[in-house]
Amino acid sequence: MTTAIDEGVEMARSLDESLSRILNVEILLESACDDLPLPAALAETIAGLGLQGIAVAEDSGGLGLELGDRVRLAAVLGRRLVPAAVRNEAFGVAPALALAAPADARAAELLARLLDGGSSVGLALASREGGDLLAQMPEGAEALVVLDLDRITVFETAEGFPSVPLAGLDPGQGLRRVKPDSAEPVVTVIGERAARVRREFELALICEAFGSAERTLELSAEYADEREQFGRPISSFQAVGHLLAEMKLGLETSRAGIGRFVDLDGESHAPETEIEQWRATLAHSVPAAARRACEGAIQVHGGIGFSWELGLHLHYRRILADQYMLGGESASAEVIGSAYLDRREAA
Amino acid sequence: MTLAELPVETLSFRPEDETLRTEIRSWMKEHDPGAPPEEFEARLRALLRWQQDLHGAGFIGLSWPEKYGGSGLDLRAEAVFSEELAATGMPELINRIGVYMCGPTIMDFGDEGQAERYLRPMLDASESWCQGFSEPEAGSDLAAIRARGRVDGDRIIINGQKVWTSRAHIARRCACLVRTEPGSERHHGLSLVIVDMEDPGVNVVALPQMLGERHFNEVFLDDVEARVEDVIGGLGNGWKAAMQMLSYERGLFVLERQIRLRRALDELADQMIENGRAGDRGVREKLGAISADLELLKAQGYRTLAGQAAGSLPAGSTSIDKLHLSRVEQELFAVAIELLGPETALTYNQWTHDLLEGRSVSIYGGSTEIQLNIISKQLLGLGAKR
Repeated sequence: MTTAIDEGVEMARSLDESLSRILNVEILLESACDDLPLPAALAETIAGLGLQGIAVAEDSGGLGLELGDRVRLAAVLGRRLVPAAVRNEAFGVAPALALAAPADARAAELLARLLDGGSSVGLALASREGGDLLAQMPEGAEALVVLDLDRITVFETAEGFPSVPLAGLDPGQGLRRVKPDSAEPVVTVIGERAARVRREFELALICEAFGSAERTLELSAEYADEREQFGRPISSFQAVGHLLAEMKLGLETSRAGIGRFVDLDGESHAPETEIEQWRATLAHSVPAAARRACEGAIQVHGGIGFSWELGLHLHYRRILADQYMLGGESASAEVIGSAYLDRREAA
Repeated sequence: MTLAELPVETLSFRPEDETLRTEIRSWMKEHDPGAPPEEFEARLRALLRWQQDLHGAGFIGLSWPEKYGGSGLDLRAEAVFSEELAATGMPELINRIGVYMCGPTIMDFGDEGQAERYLRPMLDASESWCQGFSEPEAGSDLAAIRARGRVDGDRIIINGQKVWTSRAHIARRCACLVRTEPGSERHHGLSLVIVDMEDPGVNVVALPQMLGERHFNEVFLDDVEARVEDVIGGLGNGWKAAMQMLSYERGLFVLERQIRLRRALDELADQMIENGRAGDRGVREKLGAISADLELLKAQGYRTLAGQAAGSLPAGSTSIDKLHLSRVEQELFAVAIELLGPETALTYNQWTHDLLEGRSVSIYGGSTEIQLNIISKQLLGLGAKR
């Protein structure tokens, strides 16, 4: 057991190191400037890391990782601001295709090439209220996977797919507005297993936001110890120390929540309703804490924190995107409150 | 970077823990004493009897070694007990300071003699305990302790004053932090001494809190005689022992508190349902946000207990528990009277009582500002290079 944990941590550390070498802030800013994907050579290097198999079982050609390992890797993607397309393919597209593959040849073929880094597939989360989709479709995407609450739908996107490009806040993701009703799906999977894929993808967004925010806290704590004003490091001022401590507080209760979720879902196999309550709790609380932490990071850095060149805004954009893909702070609270009041009423 | 802590360890309950839960729950159901009497002395007697009953049923000291009268189980069992106790009409142990804080600290730092003399009577509350830490000039700055303990052969003669001492008026023993090394400063030269509260030099004076309730006291110590063999962890090691004791103040306490707050939220939700307001978006959002915060408080409590069980709790980490608890407790009662409106807010009732009482959470056991200092220094390591 201990060995397995250590191996998982080691894998995450090594990925974190590799990504820190590949993705420096200059490169990320260059792409962000024109809302473009990463240069092809870099994208290929990242594809070569084999991230696409993170959330796929071994018998479907994936890495067959434990939930705890997947959570950790999602946080690493957030730390290093790995393009959203990579996260989507690893945590949303690949597991969705793996679920559809046994009954559908096209899904199987797309999955096989995706796992080899040879295909590109977009992703959209259907909102609880329905309506148009905001899809993330990288250039050259040949299909789109839509994750609904308990339904997975795959569309071909090569020719004449009804979509309109939009500028994304989180850059380089190929954001498009899609009218799903006007296209014919290739394959649809409905039921609990489809719901699980969506839930896992949402967990990846949650952990990505956490990892991204934790990175901004690290940068802020280092900066506060180095930056001097009034003849001493700004960390020696209680106002600054307390701001950093507030950031830490939100992230540590988030960490505890993620730990509990992994235990309930991965180890203790708690009832689905309890797991769903926990997922809803995390979807509300973690991105909110991550956002506050990142806002604190910008504040602690002062003017340079607000600059383009430092790149804290890349974390901020990513965290905001994660938060609103999960519904936003109020709506996610309402989801929890509604379920809670309904349970009380039923009792 | 703390990737090794993701996902962080948590308290994971096993089938045997759930069996224990069922056993405790059914016992509690049959023996639930209901709410304690309003009248102070009657209340004390009821709480004392309740702990004796719980002890008789074998539920006190579940994680203590059998040789000290415990059950030899682990902190999971203790957590299960705390959770089930919190669901009864009397959710607190009258001697929780003894059982959860002083007892474990004696087991960690004390010797066999102290364990023999003091542990068992904690369990049935025949000897209740208090903590003599804060002083008039040593509040947030605990290391400014002035109470003196003059070592004279095998005796220690103590003079000084303690304040905010919870339950001193019912305690038989006090774990008292005093300066035993003349001329020492700050964290050095302190000792954690067990004081007999029946010593004629001990004078306990009530210090009613803002609701007029007697939770804490001033304790005057005039030539109080204690014994060197009753120093926990040895002379001069008081700071370390005291810090350990404070770390035990979180964990189970947070878990209990979280359940009591959950019960309050349930009551608020039920009132919203009764008033036909359960469908209001604003109500759903507010209750949802507090519900999420309570779940995280539980998760953080489990994490702390897992860390305590493994002996791997990082210094300062329980400040997270304390801060989050104070935020959610104050928010819950503020939201409650906001939703229940003037009718509730203008009358004296459980909600307004709890709203006022909630102001203490961000002060006792280290104020919010002190917790933030601890987090910035100990968890973030700010200024370590300075």
